[in-house]
Amino acid sequence: MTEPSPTRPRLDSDRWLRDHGDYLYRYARVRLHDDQLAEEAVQETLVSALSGQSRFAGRSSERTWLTGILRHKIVDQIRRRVREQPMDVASDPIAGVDGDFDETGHWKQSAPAAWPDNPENSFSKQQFWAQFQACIGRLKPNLRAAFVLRELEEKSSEEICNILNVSSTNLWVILHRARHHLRKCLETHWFSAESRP
Amino acid sequence: MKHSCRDFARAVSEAYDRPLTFLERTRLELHTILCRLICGWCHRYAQQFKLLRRFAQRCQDELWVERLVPGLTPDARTRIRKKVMETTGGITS
Repeated sequence: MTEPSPTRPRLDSDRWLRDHGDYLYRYARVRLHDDQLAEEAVQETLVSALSGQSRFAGRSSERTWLTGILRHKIVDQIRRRVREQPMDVASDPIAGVDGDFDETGHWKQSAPAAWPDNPENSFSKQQFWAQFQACIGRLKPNLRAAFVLRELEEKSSEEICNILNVSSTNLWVILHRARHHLRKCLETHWFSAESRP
Repeated sequence: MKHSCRDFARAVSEAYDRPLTFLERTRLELHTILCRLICGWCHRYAQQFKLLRRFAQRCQDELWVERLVPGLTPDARTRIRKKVMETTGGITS
């Protein structure tokens, strides 16, 4: 191993990996729902951070700075995946919500059931969050990507249209499907079994 | 003008992603009032969508994420370290 030359910035990726690796990986894993993609996002973050560390002015914490880079890498991962499997909203009727309505547009038997009076009680239950993650994981990849970008990353509709390469009308349909399925999944796997401890 | 439950459901979701027109908002409100008198399903749907947004915000709490998502395995750390070194051609400290 050669010594770093005095003109070369000190490379801190080992320390970053030690101090922030788990945090960054979990952040990416929650959003990408894939171990390998999350790992790649962390790796790409460290590479970018190394080349841009002179721009880190110390105004934010190191973790905040690295997380900012990671968020871009997560978007890159989603963009790459969408390029490989473009979204086709029209030809995906099974993923639609129409099956829950009759021909006149009224609810069928699958109408929303009542949730408990205080669904906030679930906030303190680890099992609930496990189920919530599982339900996000059950969404089709494209629906999940749109939901994560909108609700977890809080990106604007315009930004998401650009990332996913869809029209705004299609994005609204996609987001509705995602929320519709997520609502139903939580109802089936959590709230309807409210007798749980 | 006819405004079905299916139209209502779509508008409830779109309200989170774009500003609704005055007409759309009025229809939503009227539908909610009527729905509460009849079956309550649409009102329930809208309330549950509100909760979904709160769940999505809270699911990122570090406490839960730490408990639910395992960290990097030693193998993954080794792979990342190796790839970073290869990519940058540098020496990690």
